[in-house]
Amino acid sequence: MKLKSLAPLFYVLPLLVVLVAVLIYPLADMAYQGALPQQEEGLGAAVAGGEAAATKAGWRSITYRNYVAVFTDPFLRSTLQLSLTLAVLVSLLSIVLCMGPAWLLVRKQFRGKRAFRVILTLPMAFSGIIIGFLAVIMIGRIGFVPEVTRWLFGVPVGQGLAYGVIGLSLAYIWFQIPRATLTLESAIRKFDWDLESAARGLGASPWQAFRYVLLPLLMPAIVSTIAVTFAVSMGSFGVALLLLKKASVLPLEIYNQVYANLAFEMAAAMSVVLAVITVGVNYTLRRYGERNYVYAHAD
Amino acid sequence: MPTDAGSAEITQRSRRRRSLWSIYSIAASLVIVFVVLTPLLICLWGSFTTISTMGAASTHSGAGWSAPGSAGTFGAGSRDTEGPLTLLWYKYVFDVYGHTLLLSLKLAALCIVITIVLGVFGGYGVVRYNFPGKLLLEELILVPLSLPGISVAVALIGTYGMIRGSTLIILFGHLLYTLPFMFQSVTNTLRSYNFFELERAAAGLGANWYQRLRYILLPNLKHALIIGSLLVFTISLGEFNASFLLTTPITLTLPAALYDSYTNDSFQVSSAATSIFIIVVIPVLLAIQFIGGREMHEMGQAA
Repeated sequence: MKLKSLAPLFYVLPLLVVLVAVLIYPLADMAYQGALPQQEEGLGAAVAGGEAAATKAGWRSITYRNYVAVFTDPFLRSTLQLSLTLAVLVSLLSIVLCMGPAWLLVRKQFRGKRAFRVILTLPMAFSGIIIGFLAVIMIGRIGFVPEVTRWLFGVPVGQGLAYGVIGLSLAYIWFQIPRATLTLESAIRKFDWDLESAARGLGASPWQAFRYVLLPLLMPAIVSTIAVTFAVSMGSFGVALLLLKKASVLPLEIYNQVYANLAFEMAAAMSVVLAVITVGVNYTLRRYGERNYVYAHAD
Repeated sequence: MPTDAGSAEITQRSRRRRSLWSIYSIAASLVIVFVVLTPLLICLWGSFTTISTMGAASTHSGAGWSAPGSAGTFGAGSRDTEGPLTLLWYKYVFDVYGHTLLLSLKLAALCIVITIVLGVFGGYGVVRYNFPGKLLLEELILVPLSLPGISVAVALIGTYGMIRGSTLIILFGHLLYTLPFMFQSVTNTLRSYNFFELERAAAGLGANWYQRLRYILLPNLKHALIIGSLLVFTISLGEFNASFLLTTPITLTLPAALYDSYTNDSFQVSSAATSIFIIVVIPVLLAIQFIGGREMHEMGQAA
């Protein structure tokens, strides 16, 4: 009897060990390290006050300064704001771009549908770094779009766009095409389209039908999509690393803290903030979406 | 009849609305096809060409054709080759970045093996049994799907700083991001039909633990394990966000090497390096698409 209750533990134990080793413990450790005061690692300090540094390393009290700095330091705050703005904007725009194609995939039969589906899932396989390169090909200084428009109209459109915030958003949207389309598609597939015609038949205006029937039905799908696209945009690092020259997003700034500033404690605190925001928003939205699916399709 | 006229007007208006919606849908689809295919085709073309018109890459200079980094033999590339097409860039990439491709393939293979073991046992335990903390465990496995790679990298460096420079720490990062896919693939299959009845029957007939694993569990999970392995392969091969901070010049993965290539090499060399990645990954992606459709959607949840 006793042995039987241990059976699940036997199967799950390897998984549990790995999860603790690579996920839970490192994250907890990072949260702790983020709460340590920053070490004075300047060369002068190390030479001048060797003994003082040693005692400091031996006993480093916990402080919340790093965590507070993420929100109060003007530069870091602007970085966080840009990251959040980008993530929200990109999520909304990719829904605008992908809603129609998702609807086509569900509702229409057309030649080359399978090829279309293959094409739109391609971006999924590429990491951010490659997407940055492709963005440079398209809208870099000698990119495809500016070259073609120069040839056609004599005016290069979008030249060097890739290196700014606009180019970054476009690259992020590119990235979200398969994620948004496939999430929306599976949601629309469960959708009862007769409800909309019924509402119109009962005398609802197009706006009313949209506002009170279509939108509430679509909302869970939109929310689920944002749950995915928001997390991906917030956490994406490769595109920004390759493209962004003037502005900075949070993941890029974490990288800079580690490499340029050698401020590991600060990087740890920022990583914790980034992880909490991303996982938290994703979890909340996903929960909301799932709950409302059940509600909308309870028939 | 006023009512008839009214309803006719409504249908007409709704038809116009429908057609507007269709136009938007088709236009958006065409935009997507164009925007996805064009850069990939340019990249493929660039990897073969000796023409220097589109020096788009080399993200910093961006200007014109320049000889690949280590000059000398390859510096004179365009003059050495006849005609508009060449395989020289591929040769260069294999010489300089070949070991990174090898390392990435090794990591992907290791990830497949380890996630299969963890996924089969863990998935079986989670689906078969009820135990305290089960839901929490399932949520925990899915956490990496929305966890930013850079946070994971910083966490792993902070905790396992002493093994930085080994491939083990990169493997940790890759495991974290590939495990959810194998796990979901396995648990979805285990939940989808009444597998445990079969197992109980076999146990009743005297099959021991190993026999049940070998002749019942694994054959039924074959499809799930193939799909899971393909997903794990794609994710592991392309992983950049977490692995870039974890790699060192000695332990460089392919995506990290691509970053080096983009910042140092000419457009043609960068294109060749990228094309190698594309050529390896696209067949796998197609296989995932044709073997199973829903898994593709699950992959979309990954950062």
